[in-house]
Amino acid sequence: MQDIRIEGVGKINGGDYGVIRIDGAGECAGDVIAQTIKIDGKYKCQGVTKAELIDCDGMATFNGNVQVKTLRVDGLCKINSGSVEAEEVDCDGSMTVSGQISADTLLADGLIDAKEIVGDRVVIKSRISKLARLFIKHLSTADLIEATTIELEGVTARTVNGSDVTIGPGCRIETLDCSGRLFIHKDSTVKIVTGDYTLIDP
Amino acid sequence: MDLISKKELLSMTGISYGQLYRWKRERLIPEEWFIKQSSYTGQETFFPRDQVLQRIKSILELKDSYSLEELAQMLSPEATNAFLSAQALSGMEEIDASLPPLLASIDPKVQYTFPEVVLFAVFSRAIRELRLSSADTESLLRRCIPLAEALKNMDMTCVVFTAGGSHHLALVKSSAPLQFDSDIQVLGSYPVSELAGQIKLKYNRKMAIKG
Repeated sequence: MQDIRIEGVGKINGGDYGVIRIDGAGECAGDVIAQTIKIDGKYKCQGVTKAELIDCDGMATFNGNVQVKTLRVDGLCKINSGSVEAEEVDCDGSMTVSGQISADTLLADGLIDAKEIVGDRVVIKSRISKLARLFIKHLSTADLIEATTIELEGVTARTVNGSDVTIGPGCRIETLDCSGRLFIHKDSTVKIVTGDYTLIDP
Repeated sequence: MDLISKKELLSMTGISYGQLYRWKRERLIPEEWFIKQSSYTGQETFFPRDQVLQRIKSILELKDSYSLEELAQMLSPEATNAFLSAQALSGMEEIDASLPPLLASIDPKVQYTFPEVVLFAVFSRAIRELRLSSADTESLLRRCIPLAEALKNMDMTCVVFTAGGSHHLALVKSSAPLQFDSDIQVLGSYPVSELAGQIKLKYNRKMAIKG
């Protein structure tokens, strides 16, 4: 399989690749299947992306569904008209997804903005400096977060459903359904709590 | 359609959110079964009750002996290239005992394609439930054999109805049911996909694959 490296400005039409490496500004016009996509510069894809690993340290925009085994975001990653299916998502940067993120494990220290985040284990601990907090009101947001184990910090969500749910500081949640152990930090607000849960004392 | 909510489904089957979404990603549970409806808490997801319960039961039974990828292939709505010999066909409990002799006279073959086998199984269910006379069965079977060609995708419903005194059979996409006028009487409708999935799983080892 062919590898490709874009160091200046380049465009590919899509297809089957080994490693795609973007150090400059790259664009992909169609669907792409790759082993690894490594983005250190700026990348834009207009089709469906399937890959084993996507590692985004730069800035990436996907205008289509992304199916990947491991997605690592340290920079900015935007999925505009599509959803993400992954086994593992690790986001220390910022991710915006117009559709659903479905992942076995999602670990985020950065910011995530998605319509739905679902999977087995979802851990979002959005932390930014106090100064930055003056300008950014909502850290991570989602309409729905649904997983077996959920740990949240600094997340605004409409609905959270899970078996074991830990709500850390800085969360605003409208409805929460929990069927196992539940912890809610005193600095977070949860409007409605339903389900057969056991509340853990802080 | 009888629906089941996601919460009820999880508590009934004992599976977790993680498993449900993993199976969805592996295409073991089709995306069309996730039906979103608004509720007082915003939005809730529902599933077609019988189909999803049956599917989860088969996944739980088989997940230890097959990999998720193999399972996805077995349970996918697409037809396989498999063939079943006429002899194996007559041994299937899903096939009504009256069918093999009829087939031998109408459409004699050494082996039948997977869509044909599925069609015959659906057909058997229909004639058993509707108690069709042998004359009706024969004429209906004669007319419906070419329909197997249309069964490329198993996400269909088989509708049996009477029009002008004679029995007819139609295949329609499950998501778009047909509405008939008052002269036509619908006798029964039978979903194809579940039966197809069961046959795929049950007779996997007996089927010969033609590449």
